[in-house]
Amino acid sequence: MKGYLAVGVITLLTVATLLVPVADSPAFKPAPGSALPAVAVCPVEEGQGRATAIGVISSPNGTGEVTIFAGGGATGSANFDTGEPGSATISVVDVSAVGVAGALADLPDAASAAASVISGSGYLAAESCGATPASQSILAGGSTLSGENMDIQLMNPYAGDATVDLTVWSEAGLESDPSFDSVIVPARSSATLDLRELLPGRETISVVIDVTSGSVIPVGRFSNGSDGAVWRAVPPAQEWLVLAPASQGLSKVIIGTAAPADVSYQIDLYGADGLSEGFAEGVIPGRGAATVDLTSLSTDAVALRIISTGPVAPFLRLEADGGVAMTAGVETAATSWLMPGAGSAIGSATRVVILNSGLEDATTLLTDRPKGTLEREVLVPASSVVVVDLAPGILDGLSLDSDVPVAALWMMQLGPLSAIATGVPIENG
Amino acid sequence: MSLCMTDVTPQVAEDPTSQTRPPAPRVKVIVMHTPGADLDAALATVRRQVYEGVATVEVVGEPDVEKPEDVVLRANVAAAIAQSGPEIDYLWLVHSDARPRPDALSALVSEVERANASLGGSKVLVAGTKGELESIGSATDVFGTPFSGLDDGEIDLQQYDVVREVAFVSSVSMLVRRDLAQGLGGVDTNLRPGAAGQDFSQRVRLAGGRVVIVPSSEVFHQGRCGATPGWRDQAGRYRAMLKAYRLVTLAWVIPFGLMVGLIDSIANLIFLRWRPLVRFVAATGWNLAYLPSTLLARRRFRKVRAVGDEELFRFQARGSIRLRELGTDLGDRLLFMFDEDHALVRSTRRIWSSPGIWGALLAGIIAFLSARSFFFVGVPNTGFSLPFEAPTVALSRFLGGWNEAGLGSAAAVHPSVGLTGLLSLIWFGHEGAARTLITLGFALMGVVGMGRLAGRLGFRGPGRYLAGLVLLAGPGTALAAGSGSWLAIGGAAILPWSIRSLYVPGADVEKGLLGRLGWAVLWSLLLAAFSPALVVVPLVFAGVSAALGWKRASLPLVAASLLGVVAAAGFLMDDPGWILDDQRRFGLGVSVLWPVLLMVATVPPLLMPGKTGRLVFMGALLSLAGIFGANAGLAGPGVEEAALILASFGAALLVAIVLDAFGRTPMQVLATLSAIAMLLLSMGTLGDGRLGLPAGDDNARFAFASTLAGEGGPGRILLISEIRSEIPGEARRGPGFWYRTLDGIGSTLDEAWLPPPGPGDEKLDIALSRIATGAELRPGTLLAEFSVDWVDISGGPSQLERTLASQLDLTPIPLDPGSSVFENPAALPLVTDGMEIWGRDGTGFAGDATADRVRISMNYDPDWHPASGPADWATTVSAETGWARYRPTGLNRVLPLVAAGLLLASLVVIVVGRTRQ
Repeated sequence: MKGYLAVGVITLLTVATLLVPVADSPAFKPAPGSALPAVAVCPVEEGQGRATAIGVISSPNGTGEVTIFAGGGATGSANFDTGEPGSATISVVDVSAVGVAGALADLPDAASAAASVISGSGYLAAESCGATPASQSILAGGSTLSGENMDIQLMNPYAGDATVDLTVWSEAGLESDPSFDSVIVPARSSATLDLRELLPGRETISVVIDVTSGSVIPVGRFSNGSDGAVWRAVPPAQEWLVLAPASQGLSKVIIGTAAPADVSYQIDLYGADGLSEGFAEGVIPGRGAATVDLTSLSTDAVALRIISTGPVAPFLRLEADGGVAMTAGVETAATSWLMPGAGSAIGSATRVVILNSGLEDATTLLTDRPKGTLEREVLVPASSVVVVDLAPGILDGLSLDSDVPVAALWMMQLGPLSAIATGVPIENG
Repeated sequence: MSLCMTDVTPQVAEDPTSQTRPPAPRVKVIVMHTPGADLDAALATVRRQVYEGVATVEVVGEPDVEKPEDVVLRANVAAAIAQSGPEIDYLWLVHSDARPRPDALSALVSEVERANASLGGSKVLVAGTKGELESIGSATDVFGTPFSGLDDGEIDLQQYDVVREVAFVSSVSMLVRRDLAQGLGGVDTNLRPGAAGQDFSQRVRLAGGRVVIVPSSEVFHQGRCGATPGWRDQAGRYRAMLKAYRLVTLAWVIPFGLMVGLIDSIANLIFLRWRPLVRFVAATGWNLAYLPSTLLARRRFRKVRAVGDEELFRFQARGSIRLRELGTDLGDRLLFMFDEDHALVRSTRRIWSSPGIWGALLAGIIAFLSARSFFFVGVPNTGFSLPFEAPTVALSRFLGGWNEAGLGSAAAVHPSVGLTGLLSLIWFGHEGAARTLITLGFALMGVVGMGRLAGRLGFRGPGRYLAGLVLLAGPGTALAAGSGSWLAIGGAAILPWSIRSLYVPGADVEKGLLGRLGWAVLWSLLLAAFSPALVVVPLVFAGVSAALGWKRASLPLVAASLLGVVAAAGFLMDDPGWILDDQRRFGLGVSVLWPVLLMVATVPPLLMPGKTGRLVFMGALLSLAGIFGANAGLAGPGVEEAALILASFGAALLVAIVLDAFGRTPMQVLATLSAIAMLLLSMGTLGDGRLGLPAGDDNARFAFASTLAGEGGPGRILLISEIRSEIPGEARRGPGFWYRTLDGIGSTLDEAWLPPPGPGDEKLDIALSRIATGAELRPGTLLAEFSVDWVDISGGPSQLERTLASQLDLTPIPLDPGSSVFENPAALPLVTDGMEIWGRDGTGFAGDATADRVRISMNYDPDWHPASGPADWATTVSAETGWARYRPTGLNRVLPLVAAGLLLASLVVIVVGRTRQ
């Protein structure tokens, strides 16, 4: 009897052991949400008649530092204080005269932004500085026709070397050159690829930049002899907003894709007549680009919403009277925008384009920095684009606050020279 | 002198040719009196000798009874010899505690005459026995150690009854030519009888005489003259050697003799025998004191020496008899581990009939093969299997030194640190070799321990040793070892010994309690040192065993076995999370196959009559409880480790019993097959040759820290991985990853477990949380205060790795394709005053004395000296002395000392207990 009892006990224990699930292995704590570092990486150029000013706008007051890096180290740095208005402009020539290089701007906090404004004789270019490196990005809009120069500058301000693969597409198809493979960008340095030398005579160039190790911030540099442009590469996405101010000349949007297969896209237009859905549509060849000409619409400011079936990135290119300007589209609307560098060129006229792609009217407040005297309330009706022209003056930049999400772009015009840059959206702004 | 003549009947009288026979040689009997011996009886036996040639009887010594009138009393043997006139042909030297047969003397005389010998000795038998042999003449080795060739208790069956030359004869009864005895100056009065006989025999031989044993002359010896050889006998043999050998022989014999003596003494100490060392020292000292006398005797002997040392060598055994005996002793002990019933020792013919030998042999071979990789590449340095610290540092760390794991703590280190330090120290300070030997020892101990435990529980089958393999690599230990827990293997290997120490063999219940107490305490201390939570298992085993009506453990021994917890008390009190925190456990789960196999093997024996079922039940119960405990994951890693070992132990016990009770009924066959399946499953995990430990050398992996270290030393390495096993030792739960800091000079066993986090650890955790968000562009600066010189991210691409690709002050070092290594140029030295950098000095630090204070990147503790103070979370001390030490207070100081004292006391008790036995 005792034997059967023991068998019962053992059987019960065995069943219990089999039924009780094995406890989960201890796990580490959940990963924290990501946060952007309060930093911006800006293209700079000094010499040959050109100079760079870095405009900084911060929401709170604070201090920061701009460090010029080249050749594996810092060639100079300068502290700045955004003061009560929350803005500052740092002339790179006062920090370091290094030619084409990169600058690392330590910003007062994450709700800050910086932009480079490069100016000189027959040259005006501006672009907001990149904050977050991406493992893949697209740079399109450039060309290497006669008299045109196009460079790709890969900036690596970080501690480790980076390795980059470039996939270049032009109207001739995918371009092949050993210079595009495994480009090593040493730490705290920039690597520049001269596309005019490598791919002369191309009208439409689209470059997919894949970072295989380390991190880089890529920018494009373009000049046509009478003006120039600097514009950032952006990571691809499937929905974009592109704001285009009125232009007296050519205006086009170049949409590049990183997808290896063809990608379809549809464009909705925000113009004077409101939203026009299905304004255009087409197919982008794999790792190639498609161009949408806006010249016929350029009498008024317009905005495009681009929706694609694969990852793409759109770039706006304006050309008029020898002047040229390029910038990338924006992914999202936001309630707060910083536009450092806007109005910083002496004697330039500044124009701000605001898109309200929502269904409610937006009341926005445009404020100049550092003076704060130009507080202008602008009503932006739903699904419409509004242009604000500002009188010439010397500014560090502009900020825009809205009660509903909007998108903003600014343009400087100095005679035939023009520069254009999208604003920097500020989360929780 | 009519004394003998009246009572004896001459043997030769029966000779029909007696009318023409020559007169019997005249013999003077010299009775060497031994205190306590019955002199009257001795004289009576002398008088009964059937030999007509006895001339006189003299007594040497101081008799405690009145001597007969016809007996002459001499002060010493030398005097008795010297006072022998030319009419005497032979001298018969006989002890007063000897009882010669009536024909002993006549046999001696006739055989010595016939062999033309100068010295003859009798066959000596132990008085009061049925013919147990004491001496039939002896050989020696070159160092003078006697060798009789007799087994203990060997009975005289006339197997040695042949007159032959020997190296020396016993001084209990020997016949020597009077002229030779006087020429040699008699026996050496400075020597004890045994050594004197040897000395005399050697000199006789070197003087050209023959020394023979005469087995037909039988003498019973009462042994009152001191059967146990003492240091004086050893001293006497040395002196005999010094007197007899030529200088050229002494030139090599003396150093070799000293070496043999030392080896013998030290080896005997290991066997807990201290007397050989004392004897060796005393004998050497005595000979130094008597060196002038020895030299004088040597000079005198030179005049009568007739032959060379070769004559002595002819009768000497090769090599050293003491070393040979030592080897035999060692072999016996090793064999005894496997062969409790001494089949091997008793008779090689019975080897293979011993039930455990086959299993032991097979298990031993498998265990040896299971550890084969240790012979070639050493013990792996990965997981929780980390190298030992230098012995003195490890010991001082255990005895209340600073715990450097993590960012440092006053919490006690794991008790294994002290034990491994001690064992390394015993192994001449070579911690690496000690670690390999200890690990090999685990394999042997596990197999032997399981066999011995089952043997003590009454099972003699061949499976009990094979079950040791299940103990080492069964359901739980295989998992623990696979996660790198070297200590789990140690704990498993010791557990059966600790349980065995609670059970006294039935015949020995009344004997040796003291020694058994010592063993119980010793085993429990060892068990607590390797796996503290296992200490309760022997108690549980004894309790369950008693409750099931199986064997009852000795209560005093059970109580003593709990004392071992003292060794781990400090560790457990300082870090209760090791027992309680389920988030720190390994997270191992035993396969469902094991409970099924256990049940299949258990049920048949339970349904059969006999007591076997109870033990089978207990084995299954313990194993299932262990599996359940490990799988439930309700407690910390200490409990988990103990549960895993318990699971294997119970399974091993079950396998041992089931294999022992092998039968042919279907149920028994089923149970046996299940047991064999468990055995094979266990052996499978041992196939890698590392006892189931994972391969790898993390110290080699992180050697870059030392190789590339700058002036400030290698500092610390911050290890980060999403895979916990990629990090040696315990890891803390970080934001999205596991992490820990390790000493850049190489991690050691004391760092395996992390103490409870201090303020520095908490600050580091916050810093890592910030870095993990990607918001920190200069993580090196943030980590600098923790002296993190290196960041190593392993385990494949991770969010943190991507984040650190975009930072400014950690320099990527392309060292290892399997991990991302960053150097932190901003890191503060571990100990610095801002200018000077201090280095390690034992468990503390030392450097140039300055007027400043040095900052130690360790969690603040006021017991740092001199003049400690906090610097945020870190510690600062005055640099004026040039050193910084941690001096524990309270229980941290007392408990390790108590544990060390208990260990020493248990050893003393064991020695005393053995001595009493």
